[in-house]
Amino acid sequence: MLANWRFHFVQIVLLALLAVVVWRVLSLQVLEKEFLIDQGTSRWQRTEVINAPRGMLTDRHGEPVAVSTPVVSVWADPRELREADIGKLAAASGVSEPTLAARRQQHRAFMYVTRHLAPAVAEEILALEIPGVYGLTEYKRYYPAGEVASHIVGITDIDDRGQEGIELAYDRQLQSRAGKKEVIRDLIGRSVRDVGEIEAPKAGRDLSLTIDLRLQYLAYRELKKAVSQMGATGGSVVMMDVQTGDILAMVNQPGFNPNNRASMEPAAMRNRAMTDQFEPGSVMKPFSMAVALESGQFQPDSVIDTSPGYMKLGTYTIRDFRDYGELDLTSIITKSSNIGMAKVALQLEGQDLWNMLYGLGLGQSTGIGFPGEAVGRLPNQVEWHPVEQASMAYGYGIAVTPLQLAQAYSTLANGGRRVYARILMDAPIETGPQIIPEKISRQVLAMMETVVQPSGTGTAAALDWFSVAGKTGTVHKVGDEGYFDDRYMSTFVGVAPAQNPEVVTVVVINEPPSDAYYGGRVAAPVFTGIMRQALPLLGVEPDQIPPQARMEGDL
Amino acid sequence: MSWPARLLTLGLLVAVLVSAFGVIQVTYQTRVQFAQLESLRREGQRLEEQWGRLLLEESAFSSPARVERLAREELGMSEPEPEQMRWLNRNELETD
Repeated sequence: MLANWRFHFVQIVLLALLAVVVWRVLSLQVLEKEFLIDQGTSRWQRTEVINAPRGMLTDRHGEPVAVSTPVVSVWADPRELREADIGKLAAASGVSEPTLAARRQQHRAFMYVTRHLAPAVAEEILALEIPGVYGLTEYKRYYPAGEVASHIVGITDIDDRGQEGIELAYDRQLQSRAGKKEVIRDLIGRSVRDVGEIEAPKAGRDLSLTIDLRLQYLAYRELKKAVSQMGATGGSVVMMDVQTGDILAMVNQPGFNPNNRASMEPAAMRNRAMTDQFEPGSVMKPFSMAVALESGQFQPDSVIDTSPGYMKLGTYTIRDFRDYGELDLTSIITKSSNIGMAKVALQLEGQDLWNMLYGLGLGQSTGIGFPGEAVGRLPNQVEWHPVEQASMAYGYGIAVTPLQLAQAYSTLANGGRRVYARILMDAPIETGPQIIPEKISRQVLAMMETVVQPSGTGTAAALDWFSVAGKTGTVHKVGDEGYFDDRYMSTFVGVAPAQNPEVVTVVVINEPPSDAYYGGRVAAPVFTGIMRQALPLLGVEPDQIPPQARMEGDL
Repeated sequence: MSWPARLLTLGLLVAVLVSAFGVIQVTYQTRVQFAQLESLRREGQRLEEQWGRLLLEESAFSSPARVERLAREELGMSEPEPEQMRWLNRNELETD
């Protein structure tokens, strides 16, 4: 019996051992298989990121305005980086030792050492072959046009995500998609062989803007010169192609250099031409005139008595620069008479005025999707009171952005057919409805031509070789306690050539000096400075040839 | 086993061996070609780097501000004054 008991005992022990072995095999081969394989491969294989460049931004002729170039960021794996090597790494990378030590404690598997180095500089650090230190190709954004196009183009952050401007608005299209690949690494962790690609990298899409860098530069130069010479606080210029609505140039002051992050101030980074709305004032008069002509009650030569140069309207008193006496409609525009305009407006339907301005795109987004774009203000009334009606007719009580103004004037200059602002070359050019009858749009442009002629308010905007239709505007700025007495916004809007319009240019000067603030004196010269070079650049044929420029015998 | 069955077995054996070597071959090719792709990509990267640098250089040299400064200061050029300009009427010249 004893032998039998011992036999059973040995049998059970052996079976138990077998069970242990089988369980172990099961756990290794089946239960923990994936974990163990993962751990194994991770000893010799690693997944690396392949970065791809963000899409390039160019102007309408293909000149680059934002380019991504490859740079190398040095990173380390804190698990592999030995504490003893930190000193060496700090010396090579120029990052302080405590910073690196702290980062090594904070991060588990990935820490940056330095970012965005020139490839050759990074190569020097990597050549030290410190275990656990690697290079990663990233892309850095450069803005070749610098300050000239910075507001419209915007900027990206260090991780290549759009922060401002077009970079933000079209971030989805511009962004690249990083790929992944597997590599075999050696003892100190350097990749020795590429094994396979898990995901292919995809570069971002290149986008062409409608701006023309040459015009952009001209506008930038003239605006900057004007603003700094007279000590204004800022300003904007927008140039628009009359037929297509293409934004040819858009600049603001103060500006910023997108290549130097340290110099950036939030206030200087605003694209004022789109984000800041202001009371337009007299530059609205041509549109009110269009309503007056369309009503059939007035002709360009209908006469209005503006004496004695001031007029009570509700609780307000509105004034003209001086007593102009009897003026016809054209002269009301020439002299920019508030009283003349108010008297005309009072005989119109308030709703017609509102419909006109709304039809021209005021009080609405332009739809180009720019971040922070202001929509302006165009209050509609259930019942139109004389005060609101008259003040809207000469541009008070509403707010517009310089871009909306450019768009509205483009519509006027385009034979009254609605123009939609466009900022990307591959956006469709839309043909809009007729807002102003073609005949009336011509009559209004003809009225505006008198503004730059002698006795007009904008004589400084006259060009030697091209006819110009323009309108000046000067408004008091609005603050917390109503209108400021000594702070102004001066505007000039010009259409050239007036006979066959190609370009609309809006110039807005913010807070010009209080001794010379009229739109005709402050903003009109900027227009001239830009246009006398811009129109020949665009290949626009002169339509007004100065007599002294004619060759002998040529008449 | 009948002849056809033996033949089938042999055929399948050969097929298995061929496909096995095929797999080895293809895997090897994949790695070689991926390594090639990577080296081409590195080359591409290098060229891209160079292109980016040249592009920036070119746009720095051709920036309107620099061209204007050089034209004015070094070449002594200036914009023509209105009285210096003449109108050449192409149409009239052609009909003459």
